[in-house]
Amino acid sequence: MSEKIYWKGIEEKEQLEGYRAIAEKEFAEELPILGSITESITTEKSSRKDFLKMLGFSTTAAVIAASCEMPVRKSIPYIWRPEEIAPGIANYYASTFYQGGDYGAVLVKTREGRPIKIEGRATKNARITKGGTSARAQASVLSLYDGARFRNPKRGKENITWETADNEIGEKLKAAAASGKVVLFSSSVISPSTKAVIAEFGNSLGAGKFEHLVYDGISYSGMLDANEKSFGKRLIPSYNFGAAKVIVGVGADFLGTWLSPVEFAKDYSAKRKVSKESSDMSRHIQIESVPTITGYKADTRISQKPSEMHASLVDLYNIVTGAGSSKNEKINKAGKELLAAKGASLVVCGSNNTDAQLVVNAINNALGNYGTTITWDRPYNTKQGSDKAIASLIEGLNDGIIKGVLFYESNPVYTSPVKGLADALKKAEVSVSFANRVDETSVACSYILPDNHWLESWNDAEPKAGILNTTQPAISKLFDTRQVQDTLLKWAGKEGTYYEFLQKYWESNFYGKQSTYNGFWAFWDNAIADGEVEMPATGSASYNGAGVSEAAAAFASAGNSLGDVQVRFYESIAIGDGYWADNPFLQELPDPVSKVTWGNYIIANPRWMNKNGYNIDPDFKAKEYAVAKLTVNGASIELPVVGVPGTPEGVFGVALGYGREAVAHPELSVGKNAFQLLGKGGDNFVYAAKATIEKTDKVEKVAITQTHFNITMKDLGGIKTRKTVKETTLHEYKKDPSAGNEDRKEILEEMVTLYYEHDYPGHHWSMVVDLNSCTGCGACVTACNVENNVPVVGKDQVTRSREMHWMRIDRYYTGETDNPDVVFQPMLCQHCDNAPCENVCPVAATNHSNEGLNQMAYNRCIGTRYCANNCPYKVRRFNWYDFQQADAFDKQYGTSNDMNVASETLGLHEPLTRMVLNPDVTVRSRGVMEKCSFCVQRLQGGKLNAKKENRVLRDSDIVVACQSACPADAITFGDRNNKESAVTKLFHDERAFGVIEETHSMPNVLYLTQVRNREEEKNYQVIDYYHEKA
Amino acid sequence: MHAYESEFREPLINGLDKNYTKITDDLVAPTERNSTMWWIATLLTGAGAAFFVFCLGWTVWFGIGTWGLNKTVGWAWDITNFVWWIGIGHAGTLISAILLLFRQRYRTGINRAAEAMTIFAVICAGMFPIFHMGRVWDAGFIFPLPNTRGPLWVNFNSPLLWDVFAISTYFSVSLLFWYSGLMPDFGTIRDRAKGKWRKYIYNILSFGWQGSAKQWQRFESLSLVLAGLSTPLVLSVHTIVSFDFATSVIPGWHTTIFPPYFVAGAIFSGFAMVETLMLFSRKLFSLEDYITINHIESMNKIIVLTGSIVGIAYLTELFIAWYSGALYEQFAFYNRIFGKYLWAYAMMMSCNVLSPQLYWFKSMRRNLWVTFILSIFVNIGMWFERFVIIVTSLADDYLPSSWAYFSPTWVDIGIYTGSISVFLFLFLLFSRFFPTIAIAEVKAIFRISSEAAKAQRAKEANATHGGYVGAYKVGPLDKDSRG
Repeated sequence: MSEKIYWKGIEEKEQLEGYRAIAEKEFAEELPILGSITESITTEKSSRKDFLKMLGFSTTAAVIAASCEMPVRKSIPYIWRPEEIAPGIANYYASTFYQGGDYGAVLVKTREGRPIKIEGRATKNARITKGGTSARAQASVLSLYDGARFRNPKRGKENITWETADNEIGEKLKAAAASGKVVLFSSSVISPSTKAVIAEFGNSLGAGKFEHLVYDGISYSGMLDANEKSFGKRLIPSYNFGAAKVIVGVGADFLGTWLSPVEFAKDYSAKRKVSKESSDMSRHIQIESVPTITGYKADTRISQKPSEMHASLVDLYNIVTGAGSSKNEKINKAGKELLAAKGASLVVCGSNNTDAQLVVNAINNALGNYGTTITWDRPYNTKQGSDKAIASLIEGLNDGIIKGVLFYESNPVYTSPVKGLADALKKAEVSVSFANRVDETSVACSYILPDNHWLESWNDAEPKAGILNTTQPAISKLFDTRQVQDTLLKWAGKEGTYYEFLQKYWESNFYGKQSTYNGFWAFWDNAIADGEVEMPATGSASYNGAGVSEAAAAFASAGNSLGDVQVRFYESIAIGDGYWADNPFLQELPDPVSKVTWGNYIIANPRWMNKNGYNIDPDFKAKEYAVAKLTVNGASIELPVVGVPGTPEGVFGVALGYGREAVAHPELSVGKNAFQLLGKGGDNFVYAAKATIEKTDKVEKVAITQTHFNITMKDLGGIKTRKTVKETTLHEYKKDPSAGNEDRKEILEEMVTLYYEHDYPGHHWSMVVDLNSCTGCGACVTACNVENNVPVVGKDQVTRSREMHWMRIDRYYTGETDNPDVVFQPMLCQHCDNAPCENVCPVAATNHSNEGLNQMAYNRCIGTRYCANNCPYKVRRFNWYDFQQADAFDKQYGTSNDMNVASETLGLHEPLTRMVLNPDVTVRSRGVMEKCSFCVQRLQGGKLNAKKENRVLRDSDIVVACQSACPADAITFGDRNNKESAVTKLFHDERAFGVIEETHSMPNVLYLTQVRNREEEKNYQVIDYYHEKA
Repeated sequence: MHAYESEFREPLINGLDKNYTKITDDLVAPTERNSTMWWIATLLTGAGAAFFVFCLGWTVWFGIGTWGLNKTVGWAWDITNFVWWIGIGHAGTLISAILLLFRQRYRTGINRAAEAMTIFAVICAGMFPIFHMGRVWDAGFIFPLPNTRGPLWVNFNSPLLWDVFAISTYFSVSLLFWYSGLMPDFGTIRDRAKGKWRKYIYNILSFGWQGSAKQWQRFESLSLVLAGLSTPLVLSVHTIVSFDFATSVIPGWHTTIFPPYFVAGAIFSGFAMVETLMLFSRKLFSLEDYITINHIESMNKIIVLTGSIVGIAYLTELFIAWYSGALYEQFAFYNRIFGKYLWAYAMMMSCNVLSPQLYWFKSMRRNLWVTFILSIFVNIGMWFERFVIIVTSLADDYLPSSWAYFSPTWVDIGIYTGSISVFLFLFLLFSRFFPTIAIAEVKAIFRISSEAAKAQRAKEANATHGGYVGAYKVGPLDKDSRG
């Protein structure tokens, strides 16, 4: 049977001539472009010459193509795409940060399933921290990807399985409980569910066989003990700095480290915002010895030796109760001011001395502050530790009472001032560390059962009574780790996971106390989504006046027991009690007061240094500082001496938390451990001590980012001061809002130019920084580092003045050396409308956008560094090495011994650690310049969102990283073309000024003058202390 | 050339036995004989040049971080060396072009070496802007080449781009000038050459020079044209280099006095370097008769002049800083004198301004040892001048928070000393294979300015006019009577 033929028209069937001509061609019509070429190819014969040409070309092309080896990049598509993940779109999960005693209500930003950034939660879901974050919270994402994390359980140094661990430890715990008792040693646990788990575990061991000891590296034990006496409750009440009209801080760094600094900075700065509408600013008096940012922000700073501060407290008590007065006029004045603001004042004290806190309680009570600025309705859970715990543990172990120890979120082998814990641990039947990275305690333990990172965990938190927070995992476990709570539940013989336990706990304990949600799952899902639930406040306590007179008498009899040379140990803003010592971002965060990174040092009075032959201005000598030996009670440490104005003569400060020895990289083991010098007073450790100091012949390099230079020129024709920062007093401000900023008018009038000015048809991005609000804490610096993939360079490179921070905080002093005023000035690219960097780049790699951004095209940059030289603000940063392993070449260094680039030695080049990088921001290669981009990725994101929703961009759409992190709301960002935006209004504020506007750079970052709430006008003259002779 | 010169004027070519043949013999001799000294010097400087290459390789391989720069001081030894070498490279053009136009006969003894020195100094100078780039492999971005990168183009506002044009132009013109002057002399060497290859190579180098009248005529025209082209370059190159600083906003850089001050400084250092080299080569190659004390004295006069101009410029800067009332400007100069870099300022002032004042005394001008030491001093001083301008201004500019201190690393030092080796190495090669003194040009002044010719004329005058030439009585030529 022949095949059937189908035809579609008569012309095909009959094979007409015209049809055939068309059908034989591929295209019905001649292709116009190919006309001339096809003609010559089809018509002309190719000669032998042509053939050889073609052969030569194709061979060469093939050889070139084949010889360039292209890297193979594997990308694996999702087989089942997770519902929430769209590549390129960030997801935010509400979670709770509570690490090393620092609490924060946060959102975790994840990209393609990787947590890469921490943001503050919206205020409605962050009743305590109100959207602010600390530098530590910001930096904590890096610890998630720390290559030094434990990847599986260990017996000593040997890797074991969880099964083996459970079996072995289970046996040993039973044995331990049989012959003695088991202790869980932790820092303050704020998770109610975790506490329930611990209780379950304890119960499973039998009555009297288990104890939970709580010890905080930075102790609040004295305060808790005092409250127990005064109020019958071993708790710390809520402080409302926003309600206080007069604040007296006595050695309490409440803006930097004390109790709940993010919360306090929020309230404090809100109360101290000054504008024409509201200039009702609180007054802040700080009595302190070693300077802190809180003291530097105070309206009046009273500089005293630690030994004098107790007497001052008693004096204050006498003044407010009308029982006497002080010899010190400043204290008298402070007391009078407190009395004048009765019921709206606040006295806080950072001392760990129970007696001191008793006196403070009495002062606050006499002032009627309880119920107004201090409330017992929601006491803190974040500090529960007792200094007795450490002695109980060591004694218990040595006496053979404690046979099993579990360490959870605690590193007492390092933080304990009492020696002998590591040896005592050897006597235990079993010792287990739940640390997820190496620390001194885990080294001393027989087992290490690594806990999940908090970003991998389910948990809850109750930082203040009734404020419930949730923690949800933002990534699944990276390693074979197990959450502590799961481990304890397993050992307690409970079925199910901690996640299920958590839900059940919430259902039975919290669901019933609320009425918003009907049904537990609605309640639970919302709690997880919001991150926070508020329960009714129930707490109350009444003051009973116990122990005050004894305390005052004790101080009077003690007199000056500390002698002429006193040392004060303090918590550093970045490192805390050493918990953060293995976080490179925090090691490289300059201390706000001293501007030193990577290590601790002895803070001293510059005048004292001059007298005793210490070099105050060691910049000539590559930042080498003379080393002194500080001895306290026979124990001594040798550290370089750094001058800090405002330190009383004879007082020395040393930061705790440094000198960690059990760290993953030797570069992280910087400074010396000062915990070993802490002494005991009563039950509690004291953070001030009598000391001796002697100069050694040694010098040590200190990685300081801002050295002591003279801002004022005194020598030619009188004193001339750079108007880098401007300030005034509230008194003057009320008379004239442009006080301190009078010269700006003239500067603006003189701004004339022959050149065309840029046109900004769409947006004109601008920023205003309120110097009055900025506390200098450094949260913005770390936030910027994380957001913009700013590399960590390490101690050696910082010593060579090569830190890469896009955002830095400049610190300027004014007034007397012994008691200066300080201004903190966040400094970043000013995005000048008339940018000096732009015109000098020979290849136009840095150029001006039509939105006012001064932008960098990294690919175009050839690295002449002319732009950085010509930047009057010195905010540009050059990639001296391949800091981020982003180079076209393989990594180069490590082979040359005179270079020490931390990013490599700390393992920041490892693929694991590079997971922290923000995929929206280019990772810069060696040899290019970089600087603040005003978070251009966020600007584009905000614009896109507005566009998708088909609306005009709102002021709130874009929040840049530094602004979002700032706990003091010092930074305002927005579009100046929007006449209603906050930034536009602030640009026209009388307090606004640009830094060195005289150069006609026309910066898009303006600053608001610092306003100090005081009558007397200090001489506005910047310190010249390094020229001062003894 | 002038047809007449006063018989009392000191001759520029010494030696009563000189004639054209003798001149050729004397001046070609260094290219025809081997010298142990030369070998030692060449090997030493060659090793230094190799170290230079090593240090550059180190920089490119590891990164600019191997230098001592920091966040505040983005340029230090690199650009200091660049400006220093460019300055040294100024004497060649000045001597060849401006002195040619001014018909200064004494230039013939030194112009060849000075031009060679210019070429080598510009080569050394050019290394620094290239290798100071963070990404030298992308250096091509600096040329306005058509590309596929869309609207990306060089930035004509940037003084660095002007540098690219200024220096490449200067290098091309200097090279052309130098080489065209060499052609007749290569011809001379070729004509004397014995070996086949030597003849062949010098023939190629001379572009087949025949010495015909037409060739000489064209040669003269070319010289004049190139001199005319080069003259503005003498002023423009360093003016443009000074714009790198003058157009910036940094106090201490932002100064309108820079162009003339830089040009004077460049001539100052260039002449000093010519002296250093000439004092060596006249000894090494026995050229004392051609590079005479008279030459040295003429150059020393220019040194005292330009040194004093530079000194006045320093003082003017200080005055203007005071007079301006501008805080940052005042601080920049105050800091320069009394700040952490005061040692550099002191070096600059003493070497550049004070030491050349010795040349007001004739005995000092004509003293070879004094000249040699001062020529070194001037170059040290001029290096420090650039260092002072670049580093002290950057280290302490507007915001005290960012002030920093620069200290060099071994790589910085290696590159700098290495570049001096490269320079000397090239110069040694040049002096061994090329005629160090322009033979043809020296011959051109022989009849007028040589001792032999003057003696001859005196002899004739004695015979015919009773010892009178014109209105003057000519005595026996006596070296001591010249004073």
